[in-house]
Amino acid sequence: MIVTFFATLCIAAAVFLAASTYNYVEFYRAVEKFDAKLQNVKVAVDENNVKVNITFEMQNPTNYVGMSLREWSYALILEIGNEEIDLSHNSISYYSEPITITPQWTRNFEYNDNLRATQQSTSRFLELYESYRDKQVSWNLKVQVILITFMGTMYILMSSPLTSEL
Amino acid sequence: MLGWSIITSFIILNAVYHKFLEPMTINEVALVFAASVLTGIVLADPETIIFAYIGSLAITTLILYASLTLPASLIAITHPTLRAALMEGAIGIVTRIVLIVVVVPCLIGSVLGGMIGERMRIR
Repeated sequence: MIVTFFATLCIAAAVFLAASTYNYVEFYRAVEKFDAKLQNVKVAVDENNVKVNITFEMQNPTNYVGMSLREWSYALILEIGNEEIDLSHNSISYYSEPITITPQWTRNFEYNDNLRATQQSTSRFLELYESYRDKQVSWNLKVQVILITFMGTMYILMSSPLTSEL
Repeated sequence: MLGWSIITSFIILNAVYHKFLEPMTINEVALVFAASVLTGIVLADPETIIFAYIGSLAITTLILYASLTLPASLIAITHPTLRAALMEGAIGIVTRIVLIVVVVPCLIGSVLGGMIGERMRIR
């Protein structure tokens, strides 16, 4: 009887070991493939105010289980010629309740930012706005996420370019 | 011998996969010890136990190292910190765990289990 119990225990341990090792391998893929994609940027200029609407998506395209999102921040950069204007930035924390990242996790984010001309980057943008209006410009969304993993806290930096009409 | 190694590896790796850099708790050491006692009861022969112990130690080390470095063989890891944590971390973790959690508890547990096993057979 004890031999049967031992044999059953061995088989169960082998199955669970294979499953947890697969998940462990998926962790490295998850960190490599974790992604942020800028989907749309809308800019509306109203006298001296600039309204920016950003939509982007964050995703974990793997089957890893065991990671959560504690904080993320973004910076929206407008690239005109050799110039880079840091137009909008924001930071969101989920310290009390981190977001659990499930397998094949995808989440869409939409943010509105009201920029005032008193800011240096906004005033520079307003200077260039008329000459680039309705023209194709390059955006770059730089995202930093803070993930809670079994290895501790991990920082991942991502960048997502997009070309759209201003 | 292989079964013993699989159970020991499962207990250890299950803990490592949940808290990579933290030391093993007394619960995990107790589970490894209990598995060794059970193996000792099943084997119930001092010579076989010593032979199985040496073999199990080698196989457990192999399973632990192979499992922990498996991502490096399967995935092209470009993240430098992650790669360093994986390669250097695996060697450190396996050495530390084998010395602290496997060597002594497995030996004492299997010898104790062997004694229990012999008594059970006599009766």
